[in-house]
Amino acid sequence: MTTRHPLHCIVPPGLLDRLARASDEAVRNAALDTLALDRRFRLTRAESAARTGGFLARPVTFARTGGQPNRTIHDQQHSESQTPGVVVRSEGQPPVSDSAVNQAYDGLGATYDYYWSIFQRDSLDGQGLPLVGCVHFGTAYDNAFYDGAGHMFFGDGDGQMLTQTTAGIDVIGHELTHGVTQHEANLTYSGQSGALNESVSDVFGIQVKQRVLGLDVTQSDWLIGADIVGPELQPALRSMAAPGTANPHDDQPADMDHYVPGGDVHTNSGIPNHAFFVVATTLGGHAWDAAGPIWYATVCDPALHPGASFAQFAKLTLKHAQRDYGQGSSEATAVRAGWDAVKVPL
Amino acid sequence: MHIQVVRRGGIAGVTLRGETDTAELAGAGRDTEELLRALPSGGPAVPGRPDRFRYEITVTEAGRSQTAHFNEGELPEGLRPVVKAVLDRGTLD
Repeated sequence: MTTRHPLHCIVPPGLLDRLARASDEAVRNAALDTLALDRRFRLTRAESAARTGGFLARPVTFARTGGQPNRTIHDQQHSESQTPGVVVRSEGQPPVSDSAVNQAYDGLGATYDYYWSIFQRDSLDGQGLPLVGCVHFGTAYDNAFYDGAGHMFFGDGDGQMLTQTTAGIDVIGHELTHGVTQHEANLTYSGQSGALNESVSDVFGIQVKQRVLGLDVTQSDWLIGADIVGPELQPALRSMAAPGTANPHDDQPADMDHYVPGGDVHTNSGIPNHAFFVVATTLGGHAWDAAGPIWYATVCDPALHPGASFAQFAKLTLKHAQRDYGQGSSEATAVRAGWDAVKVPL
Repeated sequence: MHIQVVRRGGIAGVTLRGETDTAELAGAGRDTEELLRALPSGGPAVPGRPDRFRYEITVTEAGRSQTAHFNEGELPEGLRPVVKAVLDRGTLD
């Protein structure tokens, strides 16, 4: 065995630096290669630590079998504090009179159930992370967001742009998927990687909704946020079937010819969104039969780096389609058709 | 003093834009104008958190403009009522 393991290398970097300046070309090249590899490992190690909050491995404190969410819903009582407020419903407790509380509880459950049933993923981190929903965040707050630490915050909307955000199962699936992405590819939230981060959230958010409603790919409207828009943004926030047509202010492009340089991550996400729509509808059936698993395998692939471009992401989806279903499979053909439709080269 | 506020991002991903003269803002006195004059120009070095808002605040006084960028949560506490008041009369792009 001549395999070197530069992760915890015994050769001091100073010696490698000197060898890299050596006159012998072979020695110089070998030293340069080793240094480059070493830097890559250091980068990977730092990146991996960032995903898990500095802990390389979680201590095992109890044995979880998985399959059951651990939900708690808090009422923020219109505060903008990001500390969870009064507990209003815990796991296993019956519905309460506040519909926002029950919608949040059910949406967190539906998202947990999607990831568990389809991928045997035990919550956002795969290790049973408790799901905390915080409703009535702020006053007339036109947004919902995941804070990166197991807490999802829901605004009530101002009634014009958005209405009660807990009403969107796809919105809850979207937000919690930001947590899944954070624990896997950790896609940087700007440029193409940021648009991919957004798109992955729409891709899994719509599947959570389709699964709850029992819709196949032809029955779904492929609209994001249809249940939380007020009159100004009717009928939805985004359309995966026809990006740019969801409401009068929708500026999403549907292919690379219309990519917006420097555009918001929610703008250019229309491109990978539409690719997924084409793949899923080309294959038929339910989106989670094959299209969803191909996308999930890509998001969890260590080869998907945080700064990935659309093309790099697309190539990995094809790799997983070919590996899991076969080189000449209909799944691989559908993936090619999806990226071809949005003009992302494979 | 003229102030323009642009809010981008959020799950809706729309751009909301509003502007006004500080003289027309109820409760925005000399303290508010001092805060606005002291805004750092340039932007946050790090990308924002998923689905949080991003703010762009442009202050124009005596023919000179200055623009500051903030991620949601980094917006100075004293400016929040002003930003909200300007955006309340804003329109979507």
